[in-house]
Amino acid sequence: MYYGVKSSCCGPGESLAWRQARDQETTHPVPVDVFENKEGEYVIRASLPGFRREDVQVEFEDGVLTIAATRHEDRAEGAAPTTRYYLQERAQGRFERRIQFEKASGEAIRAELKDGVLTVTLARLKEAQPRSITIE
Amino acid sequence: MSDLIPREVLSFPSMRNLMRDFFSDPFFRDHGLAADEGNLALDVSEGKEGEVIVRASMPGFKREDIQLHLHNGVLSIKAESKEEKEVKEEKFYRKERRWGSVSRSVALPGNLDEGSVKAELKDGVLVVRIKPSPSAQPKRIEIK
Repeated sequence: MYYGVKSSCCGPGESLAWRQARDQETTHPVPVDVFENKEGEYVIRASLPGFRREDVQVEFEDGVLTIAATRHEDRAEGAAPTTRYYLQERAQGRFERRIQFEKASGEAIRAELKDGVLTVTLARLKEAQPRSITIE
Repeated sequence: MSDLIPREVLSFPSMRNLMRDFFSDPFFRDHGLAADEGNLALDVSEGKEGEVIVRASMPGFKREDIQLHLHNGVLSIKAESKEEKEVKEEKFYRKERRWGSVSRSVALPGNLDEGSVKAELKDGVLVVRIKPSPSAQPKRIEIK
């Protein structure tokens, strides 16, 4: 996380090399919002700026939602690998996030990527209604 | 001598278990502490022919939400998202993404032609390109 502008603005330094090395090895987390919509479904919103549909994978298995993505926009734009960075705060490489749901069903899962925001909708598992038994 | 009362010492395996239990606790497991890219993460790089390229992560923002100014080599980005108002009534389980207004100013390197700015918003990334000022090119001076 580089908040300082001046310190990292003046050409590639040690911190940048370190950052790039770390980017290659690390899986970056994806910030998410999870809420319930009016229909009672779970809605997961993940910030994935710069990702295209083909870069993003969404899986739901055993109650765990996995969002995985790889960013390589610089390569896609045909920029030389020796591009000089004055400031590099945006992480590159692999991003992943797992979220566990206790009461979600993957049957009607929907996912949409728009303006760099991934929206996944999961239905809630219907809870078994308590059944009253008449004693005869 | 009360401090000599024997008590159970945490052995290595149990300490390990403790750590494992701690980190596998749903509250900590996928906590978004590190999930924050900060207030408007930026990349500033040099493109072809000295062009300066600024990339800003602005997921969820629309073109009309963003105000962009370039003055005396300082680029200012200011944005206000309307998404927040839309989902105000929902029940939240987790809220890590930054909403509302973000702003950032960054001093750009070099002598730039401020009239040549081009900005584009695509897939939640704002890309600003500024060409170097013609006066920044080395000028050949003829010796009389």
